[in-house]
This record gives sequence, structure tokens and C-alpha cells, in this order.
Amino acid sequence: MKLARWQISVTLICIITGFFISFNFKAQSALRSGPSQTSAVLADMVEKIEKENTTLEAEILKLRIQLDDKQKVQAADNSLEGLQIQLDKAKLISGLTTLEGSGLTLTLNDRNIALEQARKSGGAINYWDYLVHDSDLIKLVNDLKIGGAEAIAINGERLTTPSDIKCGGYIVYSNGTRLGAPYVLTAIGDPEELEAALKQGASYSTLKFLEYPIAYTKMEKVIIPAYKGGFNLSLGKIIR
Amino acid sequence: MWLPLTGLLVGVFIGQAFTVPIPVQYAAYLGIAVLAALDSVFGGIRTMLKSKFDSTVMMSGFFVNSLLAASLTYIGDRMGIDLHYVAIFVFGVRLFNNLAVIRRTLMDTYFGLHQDKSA
Repeated sequence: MKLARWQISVTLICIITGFFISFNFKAQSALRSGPSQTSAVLADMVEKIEKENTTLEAEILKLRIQLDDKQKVQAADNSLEGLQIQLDKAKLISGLTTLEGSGLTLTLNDRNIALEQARKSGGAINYWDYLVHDSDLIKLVNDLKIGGAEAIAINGERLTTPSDIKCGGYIVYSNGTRLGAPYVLTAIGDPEELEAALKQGASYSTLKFLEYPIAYTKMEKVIIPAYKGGFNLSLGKIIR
Repeated sequence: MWLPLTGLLVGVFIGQAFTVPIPVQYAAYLGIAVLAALDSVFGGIRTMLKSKFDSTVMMSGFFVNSLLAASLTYIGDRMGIDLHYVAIFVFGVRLFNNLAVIRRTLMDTYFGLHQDKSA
């Protein structure tokens, strides 16, 4: 039975070998189809974290709604209506409610057509000149605020007290979320005043002059979503 | 002779059937596992041809070698030194050595072309 013995062992190892080879082959071909390995890892990580963020944001929203319901029930029970009204107002101010009202939407895109032309004509391309920058958005948001905007969102990200607008290379981050061109700024306010503020401010005309695709429409009704993130207030103390 | 080949095919099919996505950082471990398994197969065939086959030696060799290779890879990963090349190199050299012995032995047995001095 010596022959059988070696055959069994070698067969076993052969099965393992075949398994690893085909498994590896498959894994490698899956990797090859993507970009480089490191960027694949990073993209994987980003995707995972973003997914986590989305679920956490959904959780926050759900908990806030639950809290709302509980508070309303209690307010009805204990005649705390006055407090409830104050609370609602505080939520409104801090951007925790979805708002609806007259306003304005403004779209701003990268200079894609100009970039295409520059690519065709050859020569060095300074991508900086073709992208929408965080500073552009910050200035536009500021102009909208000057125009009396009550609530502002960029690509559905509500801007509130802790909101940032920061450069992320070809994209912009706000509230820790990636925002990409085209950027849609939505603002609730008096449409005429918002328009006037945009026209008076430097950024709109500058971007127009630099041939960025920028346009706004006055709207009868815009909807601005609630702020989905959290507030990290641990150091400040209230002085009474 | 056909049993191991069938086993190889069976393994390939099992591998194809599995669609577990492997994280990129473990790709090196898979490669080493392939090499360790191949090394064991060739080593097994060689010892069999030399009639010195011992299944315990072979199986323990496979697992211990794989384990050492995996731990080298892991430590190398942690230290930032590509230690898994050590395992790849050793397994590669052994593969060729084993194949050479197998080749000579087979040639000797079937054609009598080579005088095997090491036997």
C-alpha cells in the first residue's frame, strides 16, 4: 500500500495547490482590473469609511426624530409647550431641521470645456486654473449670507455653525463629506436680495469673467435638508 | 499518477467556485501559499521516485513551511522589510532542485540516459 499512501498525500496537497492557484489567479485578475494596488487599497478604505459615515448619519437622523417624538409627547403631557417652542427655535437656528422657502439656486462647474480645448492645443496645463476652489465656494456662501440667506446648502450638505468648506484636491469637503463639481448652492431667503448680493459681490462676477459655467435661478420654493453631522462642544462653558 | 492530477483539477474548481474577495494586503500570503504547496508537491514526487516517501514528513513539511513563510511575511510587513522574498526565493530554488532530481530520475528510469550518482 505504499503507492496508495503517497498518492493520497500528494493528491491532498495537489488539491490545496490547485485551490490556491485558481484563487490567487482570481484575486489577482480582480486587482488588475482596478488602478494601482495602493490606490485600490485607499479607495477601499475611503469607500468603507464613507459607508460608515452614511449609516452613522442615518442613525443620527433617526435618533433625532425619535427624540423629537418623545419631546412632543412629553410636552403635550406636562404642558411644556413653551419649552417645546423654544427647542424648535433652537433647532431651527442650529440647522437641525429641513427647511422650505423662497430662495435661489446657483450652479457652478469646473471649466471643463476650456480644459478640453487646452488639452487639444497642447502645452502645459495648470489644472488650478480650471477647477472650482474651496475659496470660490466660501466667497459665494458669504455673498449669499450678505444677501440675507437664512439657510444654505452645497450639494445637499447643510451649512451650519460647525460646517467647513475645505480643499480636497479635485473636490471639496464640507461637513466631512466629499462634494464634487458641479456644485449646486441652495439658499433660502428673499430671491431679489440674494440676487442683488450675488451681483454686488466680487466672486460671482469674477467667476463669470473667468468663464466658469456659473448660473443662478430665483426660486419660489427650495428645500434645504437638515444638518446630518454632530456637534462637538466640549470646551466652551456657558456663562450665566 | 492520475489521482494527483485529478486532485489538482478539483482544487482549481473549488478555487473558482469560491468568490471570497481577498483584501489586497493578503495577496502576498496567497502567493506564498501557492509556492509552499507546489514545493510540497514536487518534494513529494521526488521522494516517491527515490522510494524515500514519508507522508508524515511531507504533510508536516507543508504546514510548517507555510507557517514559517506566512510568519516571515507578517513580520516583514510589520518591519517594512520585504521578508516574504526570502520564502519566495527558497521555495523557488527548491522547486527547481526538486524538478531537476525528478527529471534525472525519470530519465534514468525510462531511458537510462543519465547515470544517477546521487542515488
